[in-house]
Amino acid sequence: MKRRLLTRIFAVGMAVMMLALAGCGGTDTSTSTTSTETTGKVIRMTTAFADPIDPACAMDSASCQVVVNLYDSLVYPDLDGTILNGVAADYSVSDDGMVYTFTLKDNVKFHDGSVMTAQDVVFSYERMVTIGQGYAYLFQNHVADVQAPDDQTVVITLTEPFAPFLSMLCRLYIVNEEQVMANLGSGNYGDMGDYGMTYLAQNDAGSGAYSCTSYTVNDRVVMTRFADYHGTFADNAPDAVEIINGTEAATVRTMMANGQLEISDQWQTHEAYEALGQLDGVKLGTYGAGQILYLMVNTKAAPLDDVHVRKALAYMIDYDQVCTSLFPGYLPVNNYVGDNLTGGDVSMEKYSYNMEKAKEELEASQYADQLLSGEMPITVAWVSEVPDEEKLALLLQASAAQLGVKVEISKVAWATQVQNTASVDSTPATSVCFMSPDYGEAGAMLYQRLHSDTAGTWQQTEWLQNTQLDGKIDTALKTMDDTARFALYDEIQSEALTEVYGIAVAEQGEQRAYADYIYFPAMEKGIASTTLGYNFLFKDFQVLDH
Amino acid sequence: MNFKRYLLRRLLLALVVLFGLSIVIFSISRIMPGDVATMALGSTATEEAKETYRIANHLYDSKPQQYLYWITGVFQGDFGTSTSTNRPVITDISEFLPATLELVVMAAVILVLLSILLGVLAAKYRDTVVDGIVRVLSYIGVAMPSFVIATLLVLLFGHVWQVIPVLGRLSYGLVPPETITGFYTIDALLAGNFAVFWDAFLHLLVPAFALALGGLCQEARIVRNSMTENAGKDYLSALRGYGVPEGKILRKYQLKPSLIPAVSCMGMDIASLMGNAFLIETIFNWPGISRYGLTSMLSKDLNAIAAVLLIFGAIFVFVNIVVDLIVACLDPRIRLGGAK
Repeated sequence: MKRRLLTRIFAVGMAVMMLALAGCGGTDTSTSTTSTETTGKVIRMTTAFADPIDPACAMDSASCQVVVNLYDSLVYPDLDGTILNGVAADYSVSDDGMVYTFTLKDNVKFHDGSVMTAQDVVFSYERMVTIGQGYAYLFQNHVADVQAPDDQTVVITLTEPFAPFLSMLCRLYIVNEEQVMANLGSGNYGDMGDYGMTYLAQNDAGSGAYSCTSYTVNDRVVMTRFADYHGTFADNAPDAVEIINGTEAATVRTMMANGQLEISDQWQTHEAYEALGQLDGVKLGTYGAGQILYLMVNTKAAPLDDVHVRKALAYMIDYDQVCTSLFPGYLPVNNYVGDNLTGGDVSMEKYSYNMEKAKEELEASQYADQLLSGEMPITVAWVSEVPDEEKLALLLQASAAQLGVKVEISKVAWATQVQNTASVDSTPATSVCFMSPDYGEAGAMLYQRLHSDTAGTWQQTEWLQNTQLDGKIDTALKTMDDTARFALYDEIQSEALTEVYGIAVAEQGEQRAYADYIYFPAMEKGIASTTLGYNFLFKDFQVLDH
Repeated sequence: MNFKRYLLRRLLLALVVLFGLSIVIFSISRIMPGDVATMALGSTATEEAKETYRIANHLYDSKPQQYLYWITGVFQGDFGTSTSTNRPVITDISEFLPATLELVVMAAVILVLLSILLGVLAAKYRDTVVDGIVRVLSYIGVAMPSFVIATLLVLLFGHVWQVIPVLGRLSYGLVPPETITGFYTIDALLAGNFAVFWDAFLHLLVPAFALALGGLCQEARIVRNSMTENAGKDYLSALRGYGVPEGKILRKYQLKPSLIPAVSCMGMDIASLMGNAFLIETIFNWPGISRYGLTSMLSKDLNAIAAVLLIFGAIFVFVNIVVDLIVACLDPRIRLGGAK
């Protein structure tokens, strides 16, 4: 009797489970497949996961690495920052710097075989600014109008002159209007529904060197070489590229040892890289991609509202130790924005490790008694997803302890840091943060770090809100003459250093382990793009015989 | 009749629990400090984009109204859109849940079989070397966190002794079977693709073992102690006096009552496997719902967090009901007591 009862319960349970599974599995089979059967020359790379691969939303490093391969832009930056033609055959700029006219290359094909027209560029721009995410904010205040007078011509009119516009334009990725319109879902954009966001989150509608053949959220993106690409591939360029989610050290090491991985992510600890470098057929490389390790400060809250305290912190950091033993391969920064940015290559008088001067500055501050007695601790927040950041916090803590200053280290998740920096009160006194320019010019970094537009974002915990400084940045960005513009950048950098609007500690040496049969352009040439994602144009990579 | 009333009572209680859970989950996800739109779209999103998001997600309505919108959607299978994947959350769940369930089912099988086997062995050979080994292994298994075990297993089988695959659900180059249940093993068998079945099965073993180990060791201890406790009962002596074979006494009269405390714990442990799987999934590169939940939490993807928690809660409640029913079947006193 009992056995029969048990059997019935088991049968009902199994039936319920199978029904549930059938429901789960039957919802969308097209997205349930993972790896495709990729053959030939393959590059597999781990990364922190690429969030949506929609070019209107992509902004983090992983997404950018994918998007720059799936989509084209009118122009794009070379590794050394030179602006090259993308799908633009040529372009001209009006004398007043307000109107840019582009002529498209003939017969540029999207991945579905249709031919790109100027209207696709207009559609892509309108889509990006309407959605308002990703890099839309770069264009929002600068572009007045985008027109397509004919199929081959795009005319972009600015609201006012903006010197680095071409550098910025690489962030306008061109989507196939027809394909997007055929895949609109329901959404918040009126007649445009969801503007194709659901579709483009996991499919591509681009014309880039690679097309997305498989996308599994939280797992991997598989891209395969596009046969009708309008540009050129390097000899031995990979036929397929897999971007794999996962930065767990043991997993990465295992995959690399087993030949299941060609390039590691950049988020391993120094010790993990050392271990990877000892594997057969694996080498380590480092390049500077313009990513600066900043100690950001909240200038609107005690005690960092006192410039003497900020200067004291700047003197407490042992910059040589940072670049040698703490983060081997990191590069010293000789100014405020790093040396690799256009207009940023200037050597300025910077703070150096000097505990005597640190003490002098602290004694000159209005908080001297509380700080030197340890009554007023200084918080250093670091982001839990980047374990290396803690090292700088610990270094500062050790230095401060020599003077009796108490440093409290706070580990926060990235999303929490973003949330905390949204208001002055919750912004930590100091934060360790890596920062990349949105495009490869010093003006971009100065804007991101110092302009009032970015106060209240993770990019600027200083909360400067200084209209005079805003004016200087705006003027610089409008100055079309390079020499004059760069001089203005220097002036702004100098002020940022003097007032210690955050401390540029070092330029990140972006380290990766990679298989010795991979030709990795940025590593081999020793020159790296400072525009996020553009060191990973896989059409220029090579998979050598092995 | 009593049993039906007991079952009905458990189901009604489960509904109350799920309703309470839904309120708690919704409240927690909505009272987090900070602007929800900024969290969802990023700090650089334009103000127009944030405003569109707030209106679309009813953020200007009162919290009870927001709950009503949300729970109505849940009943219609609409958990909202994930801000980290830009897809309906239900689509994400349908993709990841089967992967985790497959892992959890395998872990549960390992947990049940090995814990009983080890517990019985330890009890049968009490105070011998066998018992000692099982006890030491149990202590190690209980004491070591699953992520440590998982890391060691990855390094062992992925690096030092590559006899079994450890990463992902399938080997590189194999095409997953067409989705029917979402379980690669079952789908491969249904498709008649034995190579994929075997590869998927092998990929399951190590992560499932790592996931099961903590519970397995605990349950083995419980079975062993319970068996030992029952071993001296008078009714067993009487059975021996009647000449009932020792094997039958062990299986039918000693093991069965000894399983009652272990089964209760197993139920809880199996239900907990879902939540505990996130580290295992991260380390073994397993694209499951636990890792999705973790990613959602790190990116404060509110709709995804709420959906994952609700599903975990529902599974927990469901497994507990099943366990209660099994225990009630094993022990009539519980069944009858439950009906009072």
